[in-house]
Amino acid sequence: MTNMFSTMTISTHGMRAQGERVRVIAQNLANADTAPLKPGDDPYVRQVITFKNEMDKASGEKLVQVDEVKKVDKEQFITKYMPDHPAADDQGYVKMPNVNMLIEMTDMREAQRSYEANLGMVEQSRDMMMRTIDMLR
Amino acid sequence: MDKIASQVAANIYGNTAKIGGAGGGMSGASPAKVEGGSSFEDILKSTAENVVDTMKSGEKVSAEAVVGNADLNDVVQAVTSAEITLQTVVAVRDRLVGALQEVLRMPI
Repeated sequence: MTNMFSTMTISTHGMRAQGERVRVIAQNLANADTAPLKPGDDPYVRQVITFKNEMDKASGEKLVQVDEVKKVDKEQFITKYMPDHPAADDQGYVKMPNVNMLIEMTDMREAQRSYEANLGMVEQSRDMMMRTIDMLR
Repeated sequence: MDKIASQVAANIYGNTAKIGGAGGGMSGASPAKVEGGSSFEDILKSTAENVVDTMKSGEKVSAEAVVGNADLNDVVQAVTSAEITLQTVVAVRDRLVGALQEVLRMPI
């Protein structure tokens, strides 16, 4: 039975990590149009999440943990011609966030599928335990 | 080599006798404890303590979720663990009670 409970712990950690990933994606999508407040400032910077494998001392299981959520600095900001915007420069251009909707959408689908896979594992181990208990009846 | 084997066999025999003794201990005679081994009572006791711990953590996480402090995944995990543990205990209890009733129905 201990193995089955460990399976549930591992899968639950996977679900939590994917949940965090969805949170970061939602943040990127929601801030896709967040322009800077004044000229020369940077707009919202797209964030990415990284996972790491961590050994749980108590159970000895290798669990997935969120390593860090960090800003992507490599990607260039998109400039948009909006002369009336308060953050527009002399030529009338505003720096917009480097969020690509298509990339975020793909990431979101991946997180969703991964979450479902972990959920399936929890369900499966639960069913297996229940059927074993049923043998006692 | 033979000596070790016979020692192991004696230990196993001793443990089996203890478990059997505890099962038949309904008359009030508690089984004699042998050093280095756990009796049937001890096994039951530690299992019951584990069960209580699991149920308590399930309850605690549920209560935290109501207030809004707990992660939904943790709640599901804790509650599922508690449910399965409870089912196990209930199944074992039913078995024990069934066995006892079988004994009571025995024609004398």
